[in-house]
Amino acid sequence: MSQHGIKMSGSLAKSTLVKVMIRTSIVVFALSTISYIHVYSVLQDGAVDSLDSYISQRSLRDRELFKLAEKNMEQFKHEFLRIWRDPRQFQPSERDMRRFIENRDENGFYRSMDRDFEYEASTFLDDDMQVTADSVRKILILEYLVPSLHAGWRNTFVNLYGVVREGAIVKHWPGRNYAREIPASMELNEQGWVTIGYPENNPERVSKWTGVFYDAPPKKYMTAVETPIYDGDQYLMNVGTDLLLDEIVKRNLNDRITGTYNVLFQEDGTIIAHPDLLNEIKASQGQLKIQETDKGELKEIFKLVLKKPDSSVIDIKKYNHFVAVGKYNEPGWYLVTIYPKSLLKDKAIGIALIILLIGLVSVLAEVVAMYMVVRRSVVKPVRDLMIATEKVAAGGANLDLDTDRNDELGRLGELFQHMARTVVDHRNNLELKVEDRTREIADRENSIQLMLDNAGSGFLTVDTNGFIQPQVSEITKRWFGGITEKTLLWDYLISKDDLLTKETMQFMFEELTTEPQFRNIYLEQLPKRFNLGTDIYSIKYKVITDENDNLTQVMVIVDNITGALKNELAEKEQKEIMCIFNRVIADPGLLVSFESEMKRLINLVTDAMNLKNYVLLGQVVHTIKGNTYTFGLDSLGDLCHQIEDELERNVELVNDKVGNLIKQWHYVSKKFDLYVRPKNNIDISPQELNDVLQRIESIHGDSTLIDTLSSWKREPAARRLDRLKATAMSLAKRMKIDNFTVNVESNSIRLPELDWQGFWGEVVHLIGNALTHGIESDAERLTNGKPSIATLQLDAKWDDSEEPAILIVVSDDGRGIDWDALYDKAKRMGVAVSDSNDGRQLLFSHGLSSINTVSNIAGRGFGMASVASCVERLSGTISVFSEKQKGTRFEIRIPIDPNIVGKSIEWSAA
Amino acid sequence: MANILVVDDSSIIREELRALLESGGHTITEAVNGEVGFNKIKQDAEAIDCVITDLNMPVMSGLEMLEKVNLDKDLSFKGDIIMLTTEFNSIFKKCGRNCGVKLWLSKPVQKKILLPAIASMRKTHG
Repeated sequence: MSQHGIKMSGSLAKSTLVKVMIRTSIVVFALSTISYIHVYSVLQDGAVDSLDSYISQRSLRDRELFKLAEKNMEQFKHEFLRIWRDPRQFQPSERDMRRFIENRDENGFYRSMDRDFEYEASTFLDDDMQVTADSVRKILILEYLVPSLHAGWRNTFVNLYGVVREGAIVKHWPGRNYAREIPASMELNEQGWVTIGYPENNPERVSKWTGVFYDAPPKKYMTAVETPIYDGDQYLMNVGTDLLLDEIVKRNLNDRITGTYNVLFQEDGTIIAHPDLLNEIKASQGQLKIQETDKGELKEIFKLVLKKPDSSVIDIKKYNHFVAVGKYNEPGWYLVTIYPKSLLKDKAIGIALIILLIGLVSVLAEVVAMYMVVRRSVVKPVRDLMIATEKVAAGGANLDLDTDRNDELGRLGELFQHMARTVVDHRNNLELKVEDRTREIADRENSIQLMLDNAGSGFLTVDTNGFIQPQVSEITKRWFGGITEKTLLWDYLISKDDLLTKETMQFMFEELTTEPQFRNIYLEQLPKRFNLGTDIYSIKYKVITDENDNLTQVMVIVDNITGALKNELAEKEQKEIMCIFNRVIADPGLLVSFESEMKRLINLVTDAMNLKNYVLLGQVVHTIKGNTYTFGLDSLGDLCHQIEDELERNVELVNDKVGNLIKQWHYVSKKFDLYVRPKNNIDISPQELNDVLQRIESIHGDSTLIDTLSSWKREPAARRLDRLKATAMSLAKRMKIDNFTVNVESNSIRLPELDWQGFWGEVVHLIGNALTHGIESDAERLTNGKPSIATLQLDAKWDDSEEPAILIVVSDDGRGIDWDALYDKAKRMGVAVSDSNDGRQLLFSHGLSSINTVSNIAGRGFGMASVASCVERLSGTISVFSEKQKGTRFEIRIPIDPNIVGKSIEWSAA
Repeated sequence: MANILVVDDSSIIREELRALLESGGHTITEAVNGEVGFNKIKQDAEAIDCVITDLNMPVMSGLEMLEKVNLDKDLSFKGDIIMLTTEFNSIFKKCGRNCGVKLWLSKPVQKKILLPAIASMRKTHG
């Protein structure tokens, strides 16, 4: 498994934050834009409102000046008329008259003499001025009134004057001798600002404002208000005051809202003040008309103002300006403030920019804060998870995850740990499984290899006609030779001598391939074993079918089982005995009928052999074969099989085989005797017996009968003697003594209920002794005139004398005990010997044996002694009677207590 | 379950077959050779579902019995025929086939072979 380092071109936190930043920024921008639009529209409304209020305030304020001027003139008029109408006042004296007449300059003008004009008026009289009492009186009153009234107004108004129709002007302009400044060329009565007050020009007799004019003496542009004074219908004069244009302009053009400019014009379009047109206005002597300029917007404004004289704020969309219009009614002027909307835009943009800036700063701050949070609470756990994943991928299970959190990440960590454990478990399991599997495969490959290398079995593939496919394993060739095309299975494997197997195989194979219905049945019946030379082979068959269950091939596996069979044969005898035993247990009757049938058949075999009737022999052997196989006696069945083979091949060789068969049958039938009681035995269970006894007792009360029946509960001596006989036969076989037979006579005795334990085992020593020391070779017996077959007699008897006892007798017809040899041996061992009785005692002493060879069975000299001690234990005695060449007889006498055994002993013994 | 006629000269074989077949729920009739067997078939051909016969028997062999059954014009035997033998060669086979032997079983027959074989044959009859 490869290791993965944490290599990331991007980071979750970074990308998330960038996205958040972008989105928030967009929001901030949108917000700023909306703010801008909103602020702009609010500002517009505000600007309109404030412009409106500004212009009306401004108008009010500026009009105050004009109103004040008019008010002052009214007061002046009032004061003048009050004095004028009082004849006592200011009646000119002679001197007064003379003053105006005499003090004329070279042009005939009267001009006040230079003096301090701070508080005095300057008086000018035209050259054609009629010096009359009235006119002089007007001048005198004016010379008094003008400086004194102006003293109170001088802060607001620059001068104050009165113009008399006859041709005089009295003016107070502090510090200036106005009369002296008037040029000689100036015709007072022709000055516009003078004539405006004349009755022909002012029939309404109201105060009137002049336009802008240039006043020569002070060399200033100005406007003036002229108020006519009538005494009744008599026009007396004008009084007026000047407003210097400089001051008006200064006030109107300079006192303005930042970023705006003001324009002042008259109703007739005469421009009074315009920041761009100051020079032109002066050049035209204050007569510059809007219509004459090239100011398109101004013309537009003028048109609109005339059209809607009441609206105070006009939105001039074309020039993107607000225009506030205020009217000074007194002089009939318009003050116009031009307000560029760009100002609002700038302001709105300024606000929007501030919002934007704040927004962006907030975004930045938020992103930084968020980055910290995300880093701590999301990126770190996710990174931990990532590291954990790497660990799991690398096979580790030791994870460091924060599972204490109460949120989704905590849960995730928990789940991940669980998953990781599962994964690791599974992987471990998987590794184990893979290991196992790998090992298995290796084992299998090894075994296949081993099989191929060592080829314990031969493999053949056979087609449906029985032809072997030519590719066969090496071992098969070694066993059965090379193979050519079109070789039939049975021809290849089976020797031509073994016709039966060959035919069976062919027959069954042909049925197998042609009868799918009975496929398994024929498969079972194919020969499973055959002989070739000295070797024995087993065959297994495996049917290979196609998808439609049609048989296509048969696989044949051949094994050489010669070695295995040797062991098997050794077990076969045991197996057959077990088989018989099982049969007997299951059904004693079957065994009986089998035995009698077999006896009949074996007799037939003997007859057939004697008559050399091989047809009969074949039939009988055949029947025996079927019977014995059926019964499980395969060894007999096999022999029959061989006999049948021999009958077909060579009749002459059949003798030996038949002899074997008969011998084997006798051997087997002897085994039967071990298990099968004589036929006249009756099986009664203890329970059945007890039931019968109870019934008899209740009916007859015949105690002897009951005793007899009771004795049935005891073990028959015959059983013990039969077993001794079997043991004797077995011993004889091991000692290779074949001229030997055993007779048993139990006299139907049942053994009293004593402690027989070990007794019968000891009796075997007597038998062993008889075989070892007693039985001669058949040659020796024949020399001594005895039958070649020696007899061992095993008897059980009753001694019905006064001391009742049971006798167990073991006797043979052998050579007898060589007492002399025994004595010699005793003497050699230092045992004192006197007569024959002592000899018997010697026989039962330890360590004394009369022959010098020691076998496993007898000869050590201990046997007799242990028999004697065992008999003693049962309170019995043992006697030996022996005569040379006649035989030996051991008699064991076990006394019986009649109270224990029962009253019937004598009866039954009899 | 089937009515089966067992024809074999060996009483042991007959006993064995009886025990085996009865454990499979079948009803058994016995005959000691081909002649007895033929007579049993002739008595009631329809009652016999199946014949299990030995090949080699004294008096009359299994094949002879079957030939006789076939040749008997009055007899119409429709039961299954199983040949139970130790001899297998092509001549027997040919004769057996001609005589209507359906299945060949070798002695000694095992329970695990015989009972399924009979069941399988019964099944083909429906």
